[in-house]
Amino acid sequence: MAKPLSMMELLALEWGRLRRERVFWAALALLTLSLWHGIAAGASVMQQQRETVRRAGIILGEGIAAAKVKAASLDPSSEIGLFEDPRSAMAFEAEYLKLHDCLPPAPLAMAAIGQSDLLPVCVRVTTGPWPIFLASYEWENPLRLLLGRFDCAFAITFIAPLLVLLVSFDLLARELELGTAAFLFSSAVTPARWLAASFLLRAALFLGTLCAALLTGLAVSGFEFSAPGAMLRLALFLAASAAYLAFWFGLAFLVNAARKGPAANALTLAACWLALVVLLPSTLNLAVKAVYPLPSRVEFINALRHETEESTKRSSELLKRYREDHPGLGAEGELNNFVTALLAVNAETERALKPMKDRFRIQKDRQTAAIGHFSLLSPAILFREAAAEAAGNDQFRHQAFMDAVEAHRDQVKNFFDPKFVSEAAFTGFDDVPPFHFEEAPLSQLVTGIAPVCIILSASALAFVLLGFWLLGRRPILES
Amino acid sequence: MIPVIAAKEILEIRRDGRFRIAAIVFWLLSMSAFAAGVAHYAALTREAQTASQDERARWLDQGRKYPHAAAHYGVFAFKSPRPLTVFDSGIEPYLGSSIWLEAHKQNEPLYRPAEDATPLQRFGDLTLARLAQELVPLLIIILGYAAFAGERETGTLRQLMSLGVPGRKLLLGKAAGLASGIAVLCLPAVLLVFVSSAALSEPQGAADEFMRMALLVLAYGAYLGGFIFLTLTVSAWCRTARAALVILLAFWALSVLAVPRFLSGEIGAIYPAGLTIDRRTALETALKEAGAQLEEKQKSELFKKYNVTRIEDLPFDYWGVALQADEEGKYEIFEKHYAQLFDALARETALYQLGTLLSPLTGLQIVSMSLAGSDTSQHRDFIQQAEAYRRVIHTVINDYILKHAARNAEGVWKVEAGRELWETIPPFQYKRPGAAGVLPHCGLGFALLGLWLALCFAAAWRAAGRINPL
Repeated sequence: MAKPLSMMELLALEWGRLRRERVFWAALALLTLSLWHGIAAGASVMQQQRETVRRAGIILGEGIAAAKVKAASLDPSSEIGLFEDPRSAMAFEAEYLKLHDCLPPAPLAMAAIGQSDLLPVCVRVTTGPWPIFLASYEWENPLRLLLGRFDCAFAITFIAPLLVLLVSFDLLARELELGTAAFLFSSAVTPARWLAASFLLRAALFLGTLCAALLTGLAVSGFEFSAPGAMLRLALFLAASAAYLAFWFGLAFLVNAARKGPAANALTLAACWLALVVLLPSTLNLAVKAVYPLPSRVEFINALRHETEESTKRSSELLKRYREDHPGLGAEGELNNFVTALLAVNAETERALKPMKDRFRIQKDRQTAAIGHFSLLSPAILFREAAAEAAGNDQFRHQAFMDAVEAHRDQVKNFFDPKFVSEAAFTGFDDVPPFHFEEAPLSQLVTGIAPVCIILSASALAFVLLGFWLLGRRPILES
Repeated sequence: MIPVIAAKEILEIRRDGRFRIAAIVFWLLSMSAFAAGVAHYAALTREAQTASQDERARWLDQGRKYPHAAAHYGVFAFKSPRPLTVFDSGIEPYLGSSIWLEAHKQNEPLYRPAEDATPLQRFGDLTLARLAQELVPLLIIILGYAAFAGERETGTLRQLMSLGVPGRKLLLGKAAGLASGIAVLCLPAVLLVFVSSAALSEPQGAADEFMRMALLVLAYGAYLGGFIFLTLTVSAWCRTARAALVILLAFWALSVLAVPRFLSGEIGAIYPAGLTIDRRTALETALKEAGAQLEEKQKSELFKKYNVTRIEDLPFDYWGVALQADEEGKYEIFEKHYAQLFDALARETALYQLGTLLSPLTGLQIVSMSLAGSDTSQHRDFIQQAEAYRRVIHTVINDYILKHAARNAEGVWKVEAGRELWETIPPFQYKRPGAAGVLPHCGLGFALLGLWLALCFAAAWRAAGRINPL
């Protein structure tokens, strides 16, 4: 009996066959092109976001500068329109101060656009009644939002598994169909070892191509390797991508090991892909919205209008109470009373609406928790969330940003409210509290993404082990 | 002969275990999507109606006040969905459906549902339209990839042709059989949509809704018919069923998954929208400048006409005139601002429809959304109607100020209004555009879907005429 071939010899043998497989190399080329296109699309969105943040800073500076120039040009005794005079805090806040709180894109933002094309990058902060009726969202073609972006995460989530299945769905079945299996497995190679070597080589080349395409694409698109946390984010993104592809290679190995025909294998794998990548996430989305429905925004507006109306009717009482709670709001006068009453009405409206506002958060948290549990059913959901987190475009980072915006809005309001009712000329153009957003520690990224990598890799390993078991049950040539 | 072949195909499909499993899964998904669509439609409609009624009551009961204060208080306009959004919610999750109509400003719609949703939303909503657009073509491929290639592999194709069965008759019979199988699959969902639309439509809009449904059936028929003939073409061309399956699955993945996203991204690059922050800031600046200029112009014209030097000396309340002039002077700025946005979207949509030449799904998506009333053009229509209503409110209010203001004891112009004024302004009622108004927005997509069907049929006809039984 011939000496069994070592794994290295098997890999070398398989490499000789693989070199001539045009479909395999076409798949790798398609993967590379998809990733490069995805990175370019992501870089374009990231550039636009950076530009938005930069412009927000310029617009703020220009507004403050214009207020200073106007204030300096006015004679102390001169009177101009109430909303033109920057010496009035109200006019400065309403007409000159264009304050935007912005969320700068994370270093790897170009890899996964996530929700960042839908959610606001910069939010206009005003002291007006909460929630302000100012739309903060980016104007993006809704059709593009509906379809989603062809970014790197999309290429890996949807296209890469199809390419993996394309190059591996019939490795064993083809040998059986062509009749070469008898020759191949009659001497020094067991079917399990041969199939393992075939998959190992293909997976290694796929993962190598994925890493090379990602690294070159990122480098060309201006990824800042030296930015704080950039390398860790990149490493986690690569690890999650590798684990995701390993899942699909593992599944293909298992289906091959079941020894059905090529068409049956293709149909089985296509059905798995459809169920796990397309149908399950959409069905889960539907179920989560049905089980934990968010309060209606229309009803929220309706309640807001109702509470505003009720507070306005009680403005005299609210004004009195507000003055008691906020001593030092200046002497009573027609304008002072009007503004103070407005502040009192707004404060009361906010207080009355807080429970409804909290309900949005509570239901959203419930939805997120439910998805967290059920995402284990779909590798696509696990990978997409990990990719968005590594890229800094996940919902948790954006929620933390919105919380910081709300806290900042309170600071700005506390800064301006006494000045709105003060008779002294406003001069604190540079004293408006600045916005500060504290990024979560990088260790959170690791604790968020590492479990995804472990789950996907463990699934892949389980598929492979199950495949080995199936292959060992009966001789391959009986199939 | 064709009915016999079709009957044999139907029998094979019925016996096929894959078809039975696919049918059960498809029906379950259809029922879920339909139930969710109806529940969502009912909730949106009810909320919009309740909020509109409450808003109207608040408007009428706001008491006596300076009319311009009421103008600032404003009203909200709420968009209610069309019954066919049960079938295709289109871009609705990405659009706000409430607009605050206040003085001086044409505001943007608020609260896009997708912003409140979890990231799973970006995998797409499970709607009947999506199932028909993505899943049914896949089922056609699965049921039909072996139609010719499988028979060639088993040798039955040679037998059939040796009996003198022409390839083209075989094609038509197999196409009829496959279409029947798919029709059985889709029929319950189609019937549900018809029944729900009939039940949910207002009596005066029922005919329009049926017209839209008939056009939808045509569009989806062309799309799926094209897939049937394409599947049979590839099956006739390929030597093995495996090769046919791989080619068809690759086409499906490209045309359904990759091309629509790729195209929409590239079209965005062709028509760069610029930065939203710049656009909003430019609008604010333009409004501010226009306001200042208008006031100066207004004053100088009135002073000249009435030969006075102060507004206090005018024989009427200056603000009644000034506020209306301010409103009218800003109309053009808002029109230009929103026209730029929506014209850009219309150009992108037109170009996207041309993508039907690469992927038939792109044309179908636009046609489907347009007919279901969940596309950009209908959203624009809602915004325009809301703005027209806002203008009516402010014209009536400013006219009232001009006509009813009177000097008080200190010689200051004063005016108050109550329910008698608020009642003269009718409630906002959104009138949905008819089906005829929709066709210009999706006509190109319709035509290209027809072309897709014709090309697929021609290819299948040619392939069947030259079929090699060996």
